[in-house]
Amino acid sequence: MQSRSIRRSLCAAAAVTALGLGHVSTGSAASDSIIYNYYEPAGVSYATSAAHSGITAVDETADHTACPAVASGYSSATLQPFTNGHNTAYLSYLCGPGLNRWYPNPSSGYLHGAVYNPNQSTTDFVSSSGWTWGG
Amino acid sequence: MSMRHHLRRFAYAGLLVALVIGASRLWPNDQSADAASQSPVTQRAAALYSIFARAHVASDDVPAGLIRARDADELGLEPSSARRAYADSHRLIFAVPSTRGACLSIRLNDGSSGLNCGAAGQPPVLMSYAGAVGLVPNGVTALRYTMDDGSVLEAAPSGNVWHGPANAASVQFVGTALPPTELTPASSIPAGATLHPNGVVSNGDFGVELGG
Repeated sequence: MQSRSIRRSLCAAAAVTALGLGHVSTGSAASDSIIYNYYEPAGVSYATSAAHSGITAVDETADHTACPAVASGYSSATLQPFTNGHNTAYLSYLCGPGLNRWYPNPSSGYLHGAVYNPNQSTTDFVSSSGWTWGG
Repeated sequence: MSMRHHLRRFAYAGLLVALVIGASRLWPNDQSADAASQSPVTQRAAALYSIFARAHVASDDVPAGLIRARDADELGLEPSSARRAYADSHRLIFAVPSTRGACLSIRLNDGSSGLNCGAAGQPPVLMSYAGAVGLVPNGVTALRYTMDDGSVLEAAPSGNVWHGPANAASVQFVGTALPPTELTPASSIPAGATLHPNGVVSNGDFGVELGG
């Protein structure tokens, strides 16, 4: 059941990537969507395919506990965001329902924008998520 | 008494009334001045959360740059009507009126920041493995926490603000139809990850900017 759920999520995310939704670029700063209308299983983190330095904002709107995050060592969905060579960071204050927006101090490292569902039992519905870097 | 004398007395009385009215506008009562000068957005927020109706004090001033122009535009935030909701050694939290009702804006002592605007019809909440902080609507006098061991604890909010225990797994506003809000007890920190003092949870080396 869980693998089917993840497969469904991966398919949805692939569709989003193929459509290239939400890309905006202004000056030296740029922003892009991470995922739209994505059913994110418990414990899964979903990261963008591209990585950039100087991430200045990550946000997401979800119905439950999903939180904006940054990641390295993986892209797309993983059930192992903290092991197996995967690195993930999120601000624990921003894991509640509604709109969460994180303004981290920009890191010089190349990171992926991500959305992590820290819940241990419930699939979250992430209606939108985006990230901004550079500038 | 001459007509001229009556007119002079009438003029003096009128002048006195005008002076009283003028003075009351120059030195008004703080509470009524706030209510009269509030925008419709803040008035609607104050109808839900009376924290926005109390008189402004210096500690309510939002630090420069905390509310981004992007957020003010997109979310209809009114930082000039914000009220400080909570502060400890790591975080400073403001309740900010919004066209969505109210949002919570957080500034961490490492300079990073964030905000939460609750889901439709739900109050905002800032989670934490050390105890969440949220807004509670007017009229709610009790919160029911379910702990991670299944026990239940009831507590009163502090005005419109609640600060949950670190081991609370969910919170419900007693006497409302609002669904329980799932929280993040300290015991739910993911395996392999570390909670840093600034609230960031990570396992990798993202640099001191993120790790705190």
